[in-house]
Amino acid sequence: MTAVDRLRDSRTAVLSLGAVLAMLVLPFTGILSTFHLGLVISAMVLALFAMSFNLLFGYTGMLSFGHAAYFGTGAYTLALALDGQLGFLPSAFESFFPALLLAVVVAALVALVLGYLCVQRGDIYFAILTLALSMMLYETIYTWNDFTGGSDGITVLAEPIELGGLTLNLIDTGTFYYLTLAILVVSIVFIWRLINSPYGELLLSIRENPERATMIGVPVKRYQLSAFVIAGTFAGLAGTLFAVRTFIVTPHTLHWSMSAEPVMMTLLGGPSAFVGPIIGAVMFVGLEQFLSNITEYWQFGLGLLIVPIVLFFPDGLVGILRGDSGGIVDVRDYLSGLVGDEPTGKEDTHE
Amino acid sequence: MVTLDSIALAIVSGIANGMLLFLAAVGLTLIFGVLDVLNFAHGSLYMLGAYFTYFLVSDGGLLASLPGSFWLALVVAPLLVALVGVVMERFIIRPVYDQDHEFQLLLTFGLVLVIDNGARILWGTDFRSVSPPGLIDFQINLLGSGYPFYNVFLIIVGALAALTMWLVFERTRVGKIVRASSQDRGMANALGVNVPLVFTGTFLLGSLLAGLGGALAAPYQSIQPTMGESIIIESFIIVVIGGLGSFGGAFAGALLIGVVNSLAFLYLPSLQPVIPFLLVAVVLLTRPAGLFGKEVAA
Repeated sequence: MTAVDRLRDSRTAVLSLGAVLAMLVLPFTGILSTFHLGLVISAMVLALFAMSFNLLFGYTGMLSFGHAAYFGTGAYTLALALDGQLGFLPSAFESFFPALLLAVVVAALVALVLGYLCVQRGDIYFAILTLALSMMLYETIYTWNDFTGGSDGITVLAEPIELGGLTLNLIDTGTFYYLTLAILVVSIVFIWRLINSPYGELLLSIRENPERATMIGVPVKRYQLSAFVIAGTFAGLAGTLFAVRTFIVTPHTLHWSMSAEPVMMTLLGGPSAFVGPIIGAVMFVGLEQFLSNITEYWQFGLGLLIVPIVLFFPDGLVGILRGDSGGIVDVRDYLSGLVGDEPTGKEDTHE
Repeated sequence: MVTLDSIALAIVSGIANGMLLFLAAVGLTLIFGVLDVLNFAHGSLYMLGAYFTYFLVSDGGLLASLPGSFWLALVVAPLLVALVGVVMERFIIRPVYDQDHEFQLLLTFGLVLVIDNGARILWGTDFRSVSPPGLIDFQINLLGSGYPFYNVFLIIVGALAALTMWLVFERTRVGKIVRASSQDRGMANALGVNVPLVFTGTFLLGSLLAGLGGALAAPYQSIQPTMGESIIIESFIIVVIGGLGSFGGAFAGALLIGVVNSLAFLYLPSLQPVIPFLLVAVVLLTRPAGLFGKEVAA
């Protein structure tokens, strides 16, 4: 480790610690109303969801359009367990933490089964299959009325938790804020260590060149599947928090438009940076507040943003701040291409 | 009740629906085969085809007062959709021809958000409907029961479209040029083929077919902004089953999904939403390249 690396590491550590401290005191500063604190909780839940997505997209090179399948599975499992509908399980699972654990395990299992199918073919098939299989789950939950409540969904009422004399009331926004923050921080640390481990290096090598990774003896599909299961697990965890936060679980949590959310958040923030999805989640919640004042179909505005972002700023806000857009198309080249009749993409630029 | 007649009727209905699926899926697979671009917004073009038809023929529409308005709309709506497609290709998709598929998917996904939500903003989410023109709005006697002729009409149009495309691609010089550009665009370019023109033309044709599918669907199903997302997911399933980039695969896959859906709707309604996906799973595990796909590294 060079001195520069160590310096950068200590800077990261100080910044992260500062961020966590700021988040810890945030509710006490009184600058946020309960409504706005709720928005911060939403942003944290979505940040976890987007990070789990980016573990696949940014770090393993797998674009999933069906990540809501595991988010929704987590949400539904928690809701069904708390509701006592899983009669075959001991009644202990009707309290929050056992139910949460169960939900995460079920999400991981569903990710294992669906992921096995999705990694069978290359990039484009992966995107198609994740989308198709998540919609299958959506349709199943939607039609399976007796068990899942169909389109009405299931109400989620988390009872207060007794923890060694301490009572946690999850309905209370402040309490739930700290629970979400704790889960988010632990997850971030876990994902950070994961991608900085030899395992993370292997995932990166698969992203860079799956054929070459195969050639040097990496069982690519197995690693892709393992990343898929880890990502699905964290998506499931985010789903459980989402369920408690919104008090209801509907089939929408499994719909493709829910799968689209981590994609958009990651693009907004930037997939190439670790903090990209977190920044993107904050931007997303802010944009939703702003745009939904203008139109109910606010994702129209998001689409208008996504197209130029992908064309010109694929590294998102982080890329723009770094001063390196990573753009595959230069804005000026594009505009001059519209005037003159330049053919496809690659033009020789002399610098 | 399961009788041979009811099975036969379900199969005919399945083929009719399969023809609409084919018109959507074939453009998707054609554009992928030639341009190497997977257009997420292809289903949105289908949806536009249905809405354009509605606005052309409904009260106060541009063509409403003309005799045979539906038949005119069947020509005009796909042309309008093709125009949208060409604008999309020229200004948004062309810069990413040489990029990773991920980029193309993300970009065209942005277009889905714009077009589908734009439709909701402009036209609302109410279902709309178009009645079939008088000429073909009648029932025929099929196996002893009344059966809407419109379904038979769909089968005829779909089969004609498939046959025409097959003849153009296999038997004409234009077809040869398109196939050459899809196999090796560099070589085709070197031999004097105007590859960008071929690409735009292919995109135009694909959009036109999606628009035609949407226009034909207007009297067949309720028109709503979500019809694009359902058809794109079904088209994805079809091209995975048939083999991405394969014309024959799109045809066979579309008919298979149409018929299986129709039979499942009758006899296994609770499993119906899941069955197409189970088919995909079986195909992937047994013939990963799809029924008609060539074994190539994806």
